[in-house]
Amino acid sequence: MNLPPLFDNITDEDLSKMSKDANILMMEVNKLREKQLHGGGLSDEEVKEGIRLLNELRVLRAGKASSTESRAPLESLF
Amino acid sequence: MKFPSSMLENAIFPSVLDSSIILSTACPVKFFYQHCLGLAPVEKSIHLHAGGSFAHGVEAVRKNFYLKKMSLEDSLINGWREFINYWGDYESPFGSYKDFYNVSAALFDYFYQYNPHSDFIQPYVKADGTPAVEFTFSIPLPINHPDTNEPLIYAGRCDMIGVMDNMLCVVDEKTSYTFPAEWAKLFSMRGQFIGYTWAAQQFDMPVTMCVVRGVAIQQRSIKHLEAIMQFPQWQIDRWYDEMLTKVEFIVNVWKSKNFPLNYGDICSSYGGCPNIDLCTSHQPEVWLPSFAIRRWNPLDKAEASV
Repeated sequence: MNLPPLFDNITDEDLSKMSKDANILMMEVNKLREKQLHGGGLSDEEVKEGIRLLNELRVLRAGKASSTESRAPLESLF
Repeated sequence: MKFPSSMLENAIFPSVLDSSIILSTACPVKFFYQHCLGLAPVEKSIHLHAGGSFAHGVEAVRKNFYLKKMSLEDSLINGWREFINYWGDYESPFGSYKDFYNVSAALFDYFYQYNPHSDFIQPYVKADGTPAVEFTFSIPLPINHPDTNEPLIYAGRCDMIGVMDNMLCVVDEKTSYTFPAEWAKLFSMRGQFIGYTWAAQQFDMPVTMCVVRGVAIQQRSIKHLEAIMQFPQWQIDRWYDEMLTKVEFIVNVWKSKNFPLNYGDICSSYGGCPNIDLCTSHQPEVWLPSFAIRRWNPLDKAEASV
């Protein structure tokens, strides 16, 4: 998986969309956390999905801060 | 400073000491509030919780990989489950970068930076054949508890005893927001790490080096930095003598029931002493209901030291 391009010039519209996207990603990760804590645990596939979501969130947050830094995706460990 | 009998009645001199407890003896009043009465802020510190969760996750991954011989993928999958269980339902304060998502990402990023397959520090294999992926110690001191007359215990736990270039080292991880200038120098006189080194030597492990792996959790990235410190034997011996002097001092303070205040940097360091309202009040006991009681035990895995 390749990292999407990061953002140097962000408009207010971009920021608003990213903020919404980040909230959706956080909600999805939280659902997985809930399942691990109170819903009988996560399967291997669900953990991998959580890692994918965390990676997307990390990329979004990096973009929001106008970062030009890039890092290999978290899944590249696998 | 003398405390009213209503406060003294609930105070217990700790039997198990670690570097953070000994550090607090620089202000005997702080020692009394935090470690004899167990006063703690009602809200648990995000730094303690995030640091403890991260360390727990790293330990779980290492145990899976080195002890249970799982693949790296399975070690990480299981490690994140352990991390979630430790983090629990805790919600970070608004605006804190050390939230569940960033600290989770930091856990995976740590093993990207220090892949166990190729990490230049590998765990030391103990005499029983198991890798030292966690080092917990409790060592009796030649000073007795002022009330029970049993030897006081010096205790602690570090993340790993490792081998680097055929030399043994203590490895410990520290999470933070940033790396200030000369970050590595911050640790060269940190009693916590010299104490780990001394403790390892008591178990016949010839350790004289300590590696602190810093993980800065920021909004846009996660950064890693290492501090490698060599402690010559004279420094370790000097630390031990100083440590005993401090323990003896605080035992004598406890016996006298007269606790001097620090009136110095300790009141403002780490964002300000949480007990400052007590110290600036003529009747400190009226503030007690605004604190939680959490007695810090250095051997308790459920908590993490700063």
